[in-house]
Amino acid sequence: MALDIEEQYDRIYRYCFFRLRDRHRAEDVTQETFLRWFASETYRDTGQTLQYLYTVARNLCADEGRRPSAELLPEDLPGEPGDPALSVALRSELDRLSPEDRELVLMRYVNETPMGVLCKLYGASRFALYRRLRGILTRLRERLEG
Amino acid sequence: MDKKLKTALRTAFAAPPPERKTAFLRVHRRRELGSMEMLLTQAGYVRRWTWAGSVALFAAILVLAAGREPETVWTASALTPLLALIAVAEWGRSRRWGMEELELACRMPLRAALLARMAAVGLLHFALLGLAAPVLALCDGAGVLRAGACLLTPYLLTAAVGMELSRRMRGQEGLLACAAAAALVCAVGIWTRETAFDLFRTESASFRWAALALALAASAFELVKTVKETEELQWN
Repeated sequence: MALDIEEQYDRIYRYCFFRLRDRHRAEDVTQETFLRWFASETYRDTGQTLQYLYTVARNLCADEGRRPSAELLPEDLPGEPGDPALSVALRSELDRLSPEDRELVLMRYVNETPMGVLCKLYGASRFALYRRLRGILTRLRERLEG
Repeated sequence: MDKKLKTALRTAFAAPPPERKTAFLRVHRRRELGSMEMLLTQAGYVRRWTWAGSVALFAAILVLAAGREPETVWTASALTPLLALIAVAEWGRSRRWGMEELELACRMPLRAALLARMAAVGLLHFALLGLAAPVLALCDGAGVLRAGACLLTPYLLTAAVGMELSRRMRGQEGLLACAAAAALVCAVGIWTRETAFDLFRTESASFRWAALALALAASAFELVKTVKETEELQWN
């Protein structure tokens, strides 16, 4: 699978940032993830690079997350142009979701991870993941409208 | 999902830009295996007798054909299915010995390894046939293109039938079926010499090119199917 390393770097970094809520630690973990992939002798070219990267990043974030965090998620983060009120409301609603649901939304709708990779990462069927994502989106919409 | 919510989600999940990305990616890169490197590595796993057998058989074909002037191209053409049999036997080796799953667990996936081995053996055979065509054409008095087409058609036809059979039959039975198919193609080649479907006649040029195109299409189709099957195996 041809992989755009720069693009995947940004995605893994975003994933790590929202797991750790600390840009420096997130970047350290991102670089460690890629270093492990570059040096990996056990990884086989079976077209599962994304799955490999996310699995390593997730494990490293879990290790790093056990250490105390110094930086909180800043409020004035850069983003794409849109409705600022909706974004603020959405951010607070996202904080109310379980960490796993939040991670799933990030990976599917922001990082645009293919469903096949998500199924392998979460050990769930396509149908189960679609249903879960639809449920999360419905809840978010209801809360935002209500 | 509506565009407004998608944009809002992207804004909500926006992260500060990474500071050390450019410097990191400039220094560190994954070492990818190039196509030529892959081909050479996998060629090393092709059995020595496949190389030696191909060259020996090719030499035997040339000697036999040279002794049957002016029917050198026809004689060589009737024997090229045996060359294809060597190739098919090599390509189906892991399947024949029930080693596909073990190969899937290796660093190189079976699909890439199989393609590289097919390319290595196929390239050698094409090179040998490419060398033979002008020599035989000179002995026979036929054109080089005509000789090339006459040598390639039975080779490709045997390869296509062999790939199909080795996918359908497991173990040594598959190899025996491929050998039978090669013998059948040889026999058909000899039989057509006396019929209107003779590939070697100067006046049957359109039939010759149509047969070559058909054999090419069949072998390409079988190649794709064989490679795709390794993907299915991997998925399972």
